[in-house]
Amino acid sequence: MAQIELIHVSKTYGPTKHGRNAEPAVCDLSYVIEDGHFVSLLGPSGCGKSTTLNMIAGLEDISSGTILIDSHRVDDLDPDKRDLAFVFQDYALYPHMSVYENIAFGLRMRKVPKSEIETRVTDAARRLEIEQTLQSKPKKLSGGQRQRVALARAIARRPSVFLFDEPLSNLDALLRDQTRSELKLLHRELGATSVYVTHDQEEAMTLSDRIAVMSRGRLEQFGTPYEVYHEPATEFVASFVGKPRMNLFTVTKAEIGRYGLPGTTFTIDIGDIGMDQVRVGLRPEECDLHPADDGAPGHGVVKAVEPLGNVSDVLVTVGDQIFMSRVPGFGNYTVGDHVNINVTRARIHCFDQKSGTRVDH
Amino acid sequence: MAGTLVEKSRKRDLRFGLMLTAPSVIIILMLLGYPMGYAIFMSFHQWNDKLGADHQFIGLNNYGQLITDPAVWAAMERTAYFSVITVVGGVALAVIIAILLNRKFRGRTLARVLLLVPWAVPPVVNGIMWKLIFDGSVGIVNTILRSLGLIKENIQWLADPTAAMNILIFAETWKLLPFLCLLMLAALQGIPESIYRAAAIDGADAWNTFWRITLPNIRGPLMFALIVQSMWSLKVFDTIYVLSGGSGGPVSGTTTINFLDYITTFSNLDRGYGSAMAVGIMLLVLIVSAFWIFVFGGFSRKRREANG
Ligand SMILES: Nc1ncnc2c1ncn2[C@@H]1O[C@H](COP(=O)(O)OP(=O)(O)O)[C@@H](O)[C@H]1O
Ligand SMILES: [Mg+2]
Repeated sequence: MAQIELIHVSKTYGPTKHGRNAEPAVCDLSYVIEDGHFVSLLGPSGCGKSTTLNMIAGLEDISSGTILIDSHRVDDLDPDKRDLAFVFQDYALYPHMSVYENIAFGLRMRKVPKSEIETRVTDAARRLEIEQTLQSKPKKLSGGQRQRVALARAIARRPSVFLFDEPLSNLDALLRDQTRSELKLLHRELGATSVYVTHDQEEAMTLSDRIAVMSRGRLEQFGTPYEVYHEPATEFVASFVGKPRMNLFTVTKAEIGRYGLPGTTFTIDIGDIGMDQVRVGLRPEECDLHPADDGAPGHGVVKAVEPLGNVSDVLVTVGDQIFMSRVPGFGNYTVGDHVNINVTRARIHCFDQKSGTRVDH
Repeated sequence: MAGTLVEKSRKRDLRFGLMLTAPSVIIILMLLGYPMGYAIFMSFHQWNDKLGADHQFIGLNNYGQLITDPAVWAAMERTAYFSVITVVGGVALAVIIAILLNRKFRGRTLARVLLLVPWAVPPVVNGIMWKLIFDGSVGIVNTILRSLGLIKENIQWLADPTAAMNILIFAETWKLLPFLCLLMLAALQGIPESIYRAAAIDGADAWNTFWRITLPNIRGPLMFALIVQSMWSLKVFDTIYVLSGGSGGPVSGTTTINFLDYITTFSNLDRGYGSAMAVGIMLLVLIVSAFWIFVFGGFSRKRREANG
């Protein structure tokens, strides 16, 4: 079992072709991944998730900072000395070896006795239901099966840390959901510390004990899925986590405690935060719509309705902003309706206009 | 009904395909098949231009002579020495160089371009170059060795049969390396980077990574390189011709089987015997190629069984 600690970890890849020093791919990461936790690194493509994971694995050097596993510095340890297993995005199966050999390779390299190897390989194969494919070459397997072989290879090693780099991104949607559930069960069964890289906020939310949200190489927030969703630390987290995307717009102080969207009648009650302007975030599913009184212009005009069956997303033009509200069922709005927006139910998130950090109110 | 329609269109496709390939097949037959057939035809005759134009049919006599001729066996011995070193050594060296060139380092692109230079040199020029370098009186090798104090007198490198053979091997390896390296480099680049990462996580050291990951994954190109280089080595000619001034000397020191065939046919004008030798060389090339295929095929079968 293992606890992983990142202390001011940064990574700069070598100078670019033009001789200039590259921007750091990862900058000043500090957080603790508790023993047995399932932690997701979440962020858009290119934000440094894989780089972080590779540094934990020892596949990339750390430019500055330190990584501790169980309070031991591992900066100079080779990957195989860190007692971890890695599941790669493209699975990285050895093409010339059978499935059995793929799973057994890491054990052979560690001089595990033959009988023990056999037990562990069969056990891993049984867990992932790939016993029939043990003699096949990876080329002959489907994407889903290869994925399972990659997982089996990791499990058979029985490491204290699992690292996953977008392991589900090459699967089709149905298989992805199914494998996601299985991963969660697997983690509960094995209980090993897991670090999971993904750009899919839904994956991160469903799987994780903690989520580390990253953007442009920096940590935006490290917290539970609840915290990340309901108390986003920055505007970036607010906009990245949650589907449909949070409504975000700038409001201006109108009267004491109330802020309004310029050019509209829409106002919200934030309280006194001592700022003239502030960024405000409202989750679409927490905002209700009401038809405006006959003849009244209301807050805005319905621009589009997107029914999803159980709910519908209604897009409303408010001034020069597009505001989204998620209403139950099919809703009874048509394009052109004048509507009022009711936010009494909603948590109002405020962010500093310049820094994007959360403002409590 | 539909079946016969499909059948018909399949037949038409086949006929059309044959028609399209016919011109090249005919040209190949004329350019390769005719001389080859003619050589086989000559090999069954007493066909020596020094003995006049009477070409008697003598059956397998030329082949019988081939097996008992001490000159042939001496040449075969030299061919074996030359081929084993250039094929096994050359390909092994190519793999090592390709692995180095496949690493990331400063000036890698330049190194890869420079690698190709010997390949751009025409074979005859390559031969002349090494002949000058190892020249007994004006060669740079003697000059360097003398200035280092390693030798007192100039060495007549190309006058010594053993030295001449080794210089021949050196010059040929120099010439063939770029192609083999390029082949191996292409093969190495075909191996996905991520399986090396997986191997690092799995705890494979450099030795195991090379033998268990790299080598099995370049098996196909490796076999190809060994076969092609075997053919070239068995048929080496131009470098010998230039280095020895067309004699295969000194004292036959660089006369491999193919060069012996040249001397027999074009110096001694014994074209019947020369043809028999040519056919023998062809069989030899086929056997060696089959040997490599067997080695690699057997290798993979053994692995499969071991895994099973
Ligand atoms: N081997 C590398 N050499 C140079 N730059 C790299 C390398 N790997 C990643 N980068 C750069 O580092 C940044 C982060 O990449 P990465 O960690 O792969 O992002 P993510 O996994 O979040 O998509 C990107 O800008 C990428 O271009
Ligand atoms: Mg990535």
